[in-house]
Amino acid sequence: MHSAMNKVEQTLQGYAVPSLQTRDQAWEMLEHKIQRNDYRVKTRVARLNGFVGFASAAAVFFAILYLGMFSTGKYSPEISAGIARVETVELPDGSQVWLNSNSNLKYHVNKFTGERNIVLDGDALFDVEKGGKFLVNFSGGTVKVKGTEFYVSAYTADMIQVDCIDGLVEVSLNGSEYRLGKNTGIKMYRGSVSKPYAVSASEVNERLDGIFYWNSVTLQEVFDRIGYRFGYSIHPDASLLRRNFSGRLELNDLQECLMVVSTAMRMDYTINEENKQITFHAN
Amino acid sequence: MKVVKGTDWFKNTFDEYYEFIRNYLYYLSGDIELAEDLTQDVFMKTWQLKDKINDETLKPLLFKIARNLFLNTRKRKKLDLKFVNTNVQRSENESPEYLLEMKEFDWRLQKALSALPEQCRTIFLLNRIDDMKYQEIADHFGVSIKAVEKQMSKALKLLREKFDYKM
Repeated sequence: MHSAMNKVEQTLQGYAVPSLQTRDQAWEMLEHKIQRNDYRVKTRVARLNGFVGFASAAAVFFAILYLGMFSTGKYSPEISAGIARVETVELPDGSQVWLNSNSNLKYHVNKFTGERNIVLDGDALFDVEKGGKFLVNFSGGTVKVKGTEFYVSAYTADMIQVDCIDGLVEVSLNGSEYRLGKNTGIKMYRGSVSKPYAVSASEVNERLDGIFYWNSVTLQEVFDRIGYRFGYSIHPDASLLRRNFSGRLELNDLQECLMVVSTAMRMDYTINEENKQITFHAN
Repeated sequence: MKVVKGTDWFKNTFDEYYEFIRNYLYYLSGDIELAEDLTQDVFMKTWQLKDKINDETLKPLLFKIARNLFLNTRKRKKLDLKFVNTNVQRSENESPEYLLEMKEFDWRLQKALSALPEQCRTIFLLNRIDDMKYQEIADHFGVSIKAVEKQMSKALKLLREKFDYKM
């Protein structure tokens, strides 16, 4: 063996995993937890019930189970994240996807070219392993990368947002091409494409916790986001659409976020559960 | 007849696998606080499932639970392994130049290990640091020995590429 590798092996022999507590301390803590029976499965949305953990595991399981589909040229079955839930999906190339609330995804890997094709309907954060082309297709556009971290929100062609957290992202929106560098985003809302804006990784990560920030956007845009995220159609009074909204909203609980936004914007709302409709009135 | 597993079974399981699971989670995350935290969760889950667990599949199950819990954690930070290097601790009588060179090499190796792809890294470290045999690793991950060998070769190749030309 080469002397450099001998040195690697020798150094490795001296390595130990650091520890903050001994095994006995860990056992004591565990016993205490069992007695208190305070266990809660950790998920990205801790407030939700234990099904989330199971569903996440199931999503990953399906991702692995359908490995065989790559050679047939077919897409994987659709993986879905329920309302206000986040599913973690590991793609066969090691890329990670965090699928946000009320979103669906399917994928296909070309075994000859290594090209990875994703079809997204909704919101997701991608952490892409280096490799062949990685394409995210959605209604109204495409994102093309090789290995990077980025966020796509595309519930509909009317409201698309792409934020690049790391690396370089090529975005195609309505036939026009845009290149986004690190910490830059672009938005297309109802046919109008914004100028690239600055975005931080923490802001994007917070979206997976259901926290969204707006800076002087129309109420219509906020309504649209709430509607897509929770799966409702929203019908506001026309006069409300002229109002602007700035601020932070937590969109994990429908009633709670409707209460906050309606109080802040001096509105009333009614929900029709049967038709999945929310109506807003100025007060 | 259904065997009900009690505290003794659970304590033995904990004693036998605590370090393996904690280390595995450290190799995945590079964050010892998170690794220890998730190890608690793995064993809490095991406690909850204990009566449904088949002892023969216990080991792979623990690794699977650990990995699933890890994948469900909040967005992870960039992996940065920081092993305790006992060689450095043992070499205090060596010359400052030697110690400096050793520390520099140690730093480069930890960076190189952190940069290995996930599966390759975890398999390599379980073998080299936890002394797990290829067969054991294959059993834990539910893969073939061939697959383990492949990941080991990949790890060695990547390390060789980094160190052969930079010594």
